[in-house]
Amino acid sequence: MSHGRHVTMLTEGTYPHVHGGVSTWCDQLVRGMPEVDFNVIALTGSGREPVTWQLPHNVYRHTAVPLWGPPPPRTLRSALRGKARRSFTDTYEAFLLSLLDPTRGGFSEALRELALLARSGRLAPALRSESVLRLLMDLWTRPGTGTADAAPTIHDALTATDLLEHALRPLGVRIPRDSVSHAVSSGLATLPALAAKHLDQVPFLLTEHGIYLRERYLGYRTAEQRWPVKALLLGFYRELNTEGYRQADLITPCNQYNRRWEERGGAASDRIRTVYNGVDPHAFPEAGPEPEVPTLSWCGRVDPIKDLETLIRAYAFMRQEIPRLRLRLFGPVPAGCEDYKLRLEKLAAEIGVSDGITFEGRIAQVAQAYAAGSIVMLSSISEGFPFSIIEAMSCGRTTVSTDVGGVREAVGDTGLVVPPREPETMARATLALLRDDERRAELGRRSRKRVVEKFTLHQSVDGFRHIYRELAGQPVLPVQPGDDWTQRLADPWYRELAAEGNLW
Amino acid sequence: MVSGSLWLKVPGGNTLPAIPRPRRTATAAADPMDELVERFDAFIAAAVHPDEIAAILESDGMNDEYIRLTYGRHDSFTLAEELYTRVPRSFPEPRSTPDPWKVSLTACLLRGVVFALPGLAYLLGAPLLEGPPDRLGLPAGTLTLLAGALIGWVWDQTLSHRAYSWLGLGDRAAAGRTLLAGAPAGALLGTAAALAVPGGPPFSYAFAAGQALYVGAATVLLVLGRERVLLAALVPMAAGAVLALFVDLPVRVRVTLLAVSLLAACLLAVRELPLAEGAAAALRRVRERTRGRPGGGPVRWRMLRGTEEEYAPRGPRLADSVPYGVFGLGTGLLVLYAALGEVLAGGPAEAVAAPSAVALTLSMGPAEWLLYRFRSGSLAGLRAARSPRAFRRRMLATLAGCLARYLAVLLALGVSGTLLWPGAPSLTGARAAALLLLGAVMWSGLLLQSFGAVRAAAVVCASAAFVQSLAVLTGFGQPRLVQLAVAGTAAAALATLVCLLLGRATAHR
Repeated sequence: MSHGRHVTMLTEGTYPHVHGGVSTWCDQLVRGMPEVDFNVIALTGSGREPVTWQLPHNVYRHTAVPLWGPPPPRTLRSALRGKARRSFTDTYEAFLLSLLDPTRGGFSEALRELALLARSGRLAPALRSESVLRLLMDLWTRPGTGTADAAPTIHDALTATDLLEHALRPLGVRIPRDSVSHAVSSGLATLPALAAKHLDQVPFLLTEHGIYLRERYLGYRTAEQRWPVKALLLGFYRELNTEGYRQADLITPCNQYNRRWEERGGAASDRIRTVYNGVDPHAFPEAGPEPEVPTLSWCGRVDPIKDLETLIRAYAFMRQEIPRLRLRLFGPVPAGCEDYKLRLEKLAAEIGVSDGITFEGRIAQVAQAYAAGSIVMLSSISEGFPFSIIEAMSCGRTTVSTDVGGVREAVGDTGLVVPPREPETMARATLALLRDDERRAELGRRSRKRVVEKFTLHQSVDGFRHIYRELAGQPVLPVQPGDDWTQRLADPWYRELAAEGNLW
Repeated sequence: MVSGSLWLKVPGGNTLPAIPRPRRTATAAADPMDELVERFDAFIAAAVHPDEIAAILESDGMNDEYIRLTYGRHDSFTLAEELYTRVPRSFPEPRSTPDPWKVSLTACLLRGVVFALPGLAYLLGAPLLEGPPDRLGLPAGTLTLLAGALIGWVWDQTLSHRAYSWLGLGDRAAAGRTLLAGAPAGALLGTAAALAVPGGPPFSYAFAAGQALYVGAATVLLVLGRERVLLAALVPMAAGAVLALFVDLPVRVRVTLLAVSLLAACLLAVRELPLAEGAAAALRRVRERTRGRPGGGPVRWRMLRGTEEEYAPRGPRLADSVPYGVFGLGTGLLVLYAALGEVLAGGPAEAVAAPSAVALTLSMGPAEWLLYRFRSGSLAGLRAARSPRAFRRRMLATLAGCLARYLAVLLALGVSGTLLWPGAPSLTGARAAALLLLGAVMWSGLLLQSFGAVRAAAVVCASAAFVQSLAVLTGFGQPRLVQLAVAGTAAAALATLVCLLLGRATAHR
């Protein structure tokens, strides 16, 4: 790519193997920049996951790197001996100590050494050796370390070492020297980018939708491992996260709120640039007149993180004031959340509002879901930069939503924001809006205007187009109003976004 | 083998911890921090870092503004740090530690029976194989059948490994395709091996062909976990054999019963295989080859895949499967010599120690179960040990226990077999010792194989079989002593290997 405009996109467990919010966003980006070539490196589980997205022609290569594939073959050449062995042991000791003690440091230097070994195929065999296990046992049972009190066993050491070996496999993946590396999440996806940055000076862009580290902290709560394993692995994710924040040339969160974690993790604030998610105002046009019966509309996955209990309780409260009021819930029930839906239906029956609530399921034209409501609701306890809110706004509907993640930034002064998990507060705010037709209409108009001004897909994709040029060392083109580089994105694939929009 | 994402999630993605809700009755007079500590106590105590608490607080819907108003702290991080220092650490154990090596004893015993039951076919077929004893003094056709069985067995050990590897990768379709191609090939090979041995009665060749077909069908059914189906297929033949002990069955009935069981096994095996899909794939491949251009899938990148082939999903390598065949060959020959060694060395035909061979075959069921017990025991050892040395001690104790139990079962089978078998040579001290040593070789070989150290086990067993073959062919030494010496040396070598390899915790991933 002599023109230097190709991008290595690094994903973990998302594009192009899995459907969902982050994948949709990746697809938007790749399709929105037909003039940029993409090399997609996807970290997957077994490496046998099918490709579920149709890859456009500017994706010139796709590689699935399995984290859980078979162990790399052990050859005579890959074994470390003598000085190399001693040097590895020292490096690995420093590496483990940096994970066990957050104040110690040394992770960055150790990771560079490990990257060299990983590239020559010698890291995985070394990590499967008995001496590495003994080293860990020795280190984490030393008096004074946090793990010593938790009495780690040989099984813990074996489990932790194994998990680290698998987690470090992406470190050996090479990125073309003349590309820009773009990790679309923190964590393991940044490993090849970090190695390429250290060894080949490849520019490194980091985008975060959720907060990777926060999700690891929450996800590990349900894991089956003992405390020492959890402490070591979360230590690894914490250090890796910090290393990513420190080394990235630019960090692009999808909302201001995420900056808190990024700055906490060591990111310099002048290298954080928020690039909001965007929506195509043509795909979500002005919705027209409100429904005759006053209706609250909600759109998303029926998932506990959306805290629909709060919405149903708030609705029950409002029904006492406006008996005609309806609540329509649009969106699929993902596998595993069927129980949650049952629980919601039971709750609605208990408080006697079942007759006013309908679960509409997945809908083909999502814009209609927003048009079906007088107000669009969001009751989540955690969000990034929710598509359902900006889509609703694009349709010219005002919103009542909980103050989580980037919601406040999205809504601005065009809707109402209430504290999460407080049904009564939500109900009062919504009632006030329902009773004031004029204000509702005015907020709806301002909502659409806000999206067109600030959150179009065009702006979002263009933001990255400029960032890529900047990182590749090319002159940054001035942004012209009406710039139509970004193709109009109203293809059938866009419905996916529309149906599953607010997935993170 | 663990698989899936690095962080084990409850299906459905509900990873939010169930946090007790605040009590609405709580009065404003109480210190809100105390209320918070009380509500989050278990989570705070088990946290590995203050940020973990911040993550939990935020997942509960607490934002910085709320934290400033209610708790007077700047943000969730500051609040979390204070909570982290306020509550002492505790280390809750995981709620359940499942034993992945738990298997049902009946299933294992069933497999043992299914391994041994086909032996009855020889009883049923015996009148058809009549003829003058061959030059070694063995019953007519013995060598023909043995050659077919041995080659078939070696092939199927290799094939099973390949199919099991595909299953282990979660690719049942590929396992089916492997079996679909491999089982008929094995049947042909077994038949060819039998035909290569001259001098058997004519029926012995037909019998050997049937035997080879059966081995192929049985491999398919056993790999795909259809032991019960296979057992059902064997019922007509087995019933006939038992009946033949008491009544003189006419030849036609015997042949029919044999044919019915064989046909049933083959049909049931075919039913498990992706026949249509395999045929279509073969046809497609032939067409592509004749057309001379690569198959263009709908996805363009397949063609564009560059130098990163190392990450391409790959199946089991052939070099990984061959040692399984070699191990099968070694153990097969050793069992053969245990049964026929004395006859082959010029002893009387009555010296066929069939009960030893039957006992070894039947013992494979308990052997398998004890392999699982060993893995389960060593896993418990890993979980209890706090140093590599302590683990080694526990592993050795488990090993000794399992081996002792296996040998006891084997001895019991050998003794009862000798008592029940009409005209079997008595189980003298030397024969019993040889049987037990051979049992030790088999079990420790299987143990190494189950830990992936099949190459070492294959080398030892194949060398032992080679030395014993050499002794038989050259007539060196007293056959019984040679057998004892060879089995003893092999057992010692394997025992050393087991202690060396399995004493390391890293072998027990």
